[in-house]
Amino acid sequence: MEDLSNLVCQQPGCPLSTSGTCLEGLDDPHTCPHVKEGPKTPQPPADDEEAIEESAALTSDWKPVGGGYELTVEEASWVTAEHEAKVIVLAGEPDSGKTTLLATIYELFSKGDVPEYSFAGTQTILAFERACFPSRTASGNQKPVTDRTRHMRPRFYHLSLREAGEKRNRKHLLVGDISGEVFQRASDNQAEAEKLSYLKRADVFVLMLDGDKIQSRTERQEVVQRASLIFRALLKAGMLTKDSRVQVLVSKFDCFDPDDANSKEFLAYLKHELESRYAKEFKSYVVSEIASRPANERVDFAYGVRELLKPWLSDRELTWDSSLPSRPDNLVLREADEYLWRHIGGLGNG
Amino acid sequence: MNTSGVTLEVWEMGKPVKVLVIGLPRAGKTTYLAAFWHLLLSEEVVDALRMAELQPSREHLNNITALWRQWKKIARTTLPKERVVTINLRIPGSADDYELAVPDASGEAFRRIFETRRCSADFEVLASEAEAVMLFIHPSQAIPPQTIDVKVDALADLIDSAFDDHDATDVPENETLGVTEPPKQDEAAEPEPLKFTPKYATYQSKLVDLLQISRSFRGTKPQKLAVVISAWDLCAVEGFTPEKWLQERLPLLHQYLNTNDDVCSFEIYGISAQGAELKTPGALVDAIRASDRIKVVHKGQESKDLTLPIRYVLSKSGAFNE
Repeated sequence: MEDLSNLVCQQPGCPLSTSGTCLEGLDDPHTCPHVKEGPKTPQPPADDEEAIEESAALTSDWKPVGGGYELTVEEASWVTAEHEAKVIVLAGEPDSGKTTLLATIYELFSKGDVPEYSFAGTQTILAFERACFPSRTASGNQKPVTDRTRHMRPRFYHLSLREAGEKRNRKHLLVGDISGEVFQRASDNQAEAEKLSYLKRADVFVLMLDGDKIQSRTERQEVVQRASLIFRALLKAGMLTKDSRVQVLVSKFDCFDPDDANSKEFLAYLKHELESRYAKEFKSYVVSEIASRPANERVDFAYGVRELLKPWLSDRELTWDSSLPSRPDNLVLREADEYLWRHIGGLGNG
Repeated sequence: MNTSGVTLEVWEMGKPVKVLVIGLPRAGKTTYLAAFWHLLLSEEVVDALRMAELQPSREHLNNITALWRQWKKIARTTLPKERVVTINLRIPGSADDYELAVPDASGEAFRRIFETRRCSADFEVLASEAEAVMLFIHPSQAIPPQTIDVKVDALADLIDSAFDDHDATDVPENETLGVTEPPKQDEAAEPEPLKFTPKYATYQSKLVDLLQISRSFRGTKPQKLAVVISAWDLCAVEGFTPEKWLQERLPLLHQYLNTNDDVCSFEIYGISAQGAELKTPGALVDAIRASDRIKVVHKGQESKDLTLPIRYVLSKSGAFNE
């Protein structure tokens, strides 16, 4: 996406200035009637005065390189046309932790903490960095936060990865970070659900449920019914089908007090409710628990996050075993497992 | 050809070899070039690359090298002063000459490419034509971002609340007089959090992206990359090899290099071209040969041969037989 830093939206609440996305959902914010073109963002101060004076003139005729922010549907389709890519759509209520999950995935690769895969590149490096920034001390924030996704059109984060032991093949991952409001609208209005045709391309549809709300006595009933409604709406609209691979992610798992038996019971009830009603509707269905950025010591940083990558990047049925260690160390066994899958399952991973 | 245990095949003769030199500001590019020029002129290091013949334009190289020899600060290359340095090189013992074109590129230019998402037409041409790339990294900039630690924050809150409880028992002097005190420093409004701009991206993300951008112009044509960790004397206390240092300090970049080695083979060098801090050179200032201040660490071997990275990127196979 191009640099939009000089655009100013006069509509209250529009995230254009913070996330570069238009509240009206327009791919090109220049066409939005609320947007005015302002002066170009002043360049960051250069380290010497000479450079400051001359830089503007020198860079005015420079050519654009890749924007570095999230990809539009069209830009994402260029990736899928050129490479074998897996498309993951993250859906969920506002503040359910979708962007935090993406930021955490990037943080894990930035620290070299994903032994199963190596980072091979990204077209959305600034989007990842922007997602990570509010949780860094450099941001000036007192507590780690994540800016909410507000745009109405899907935007994709891109990662190119190489599996451990592979010499050449890279796997491309496109993760759609969709505004929570989109799915709220879809659950409220069937016509809105029918607009979400891009879900048909998703290799995995991920519905994120806010763990903090699930452990809240007053909010949890709404969570389970909203989730149910989203599934019903998307099934009715034909956006999810018998061929869909669906994952329910309970986020913020650190919020669950292990001594709170009632919360545990409710979580089990929620899983059972959704599974009994919807698992049979999909090709595969799984519930997983994560804590991308835990706020306490109950679970480790990125709890359950690494485990998402392998099922996302393969064609196999989604599985989840919460007893898996957070950082599996038996590489030989995993490679053997992968080999068997490819040859017996006959589903190459590309 | 075998020199110092290094097998080297050069590119076809008669064709200038273009090297793209990438680095953010203060990465040590110009200091390296100054010391490199000194080595070519002085021939102080046996088996190092040699100058074939003097090129017509030498003023810039002479100026920066004079400063290097005098332990003086070399002014950073700024945008308008950017220039391509052309050097005619010869491998010792060989009659084959070739022309090396190295832009003494401004780190400022690379910072702007990353932040503005734009590049000059010259950069595009060079990135697409360069058979070789040198990436300069300065260890002082390779600082990992600090994540806000909520557990430390919670502890701080606990301590603060303990002090607050204690303070509550004391009646401030002014309060008895009905005077309202201005808020204390820590009670003042919290500073506004910063809004993300590309300049706040991590060092390793910037380097990865500069490589990605230059790679995008090159397409699938193979390329060779020499990674130079400059000011290697600063890293000595850590006891890492250059490869291990990169893996520990810049893991994202390390992964990127390894996963793309099928299209861009690479080697990593720890290089101290300056030798020590300019103000505190210590015993190095007594060096009989100026090149004695140079230190090059590569694959467990230490030398003064600053030309090794260039020899590597100019080699066809890239295989060093040691």
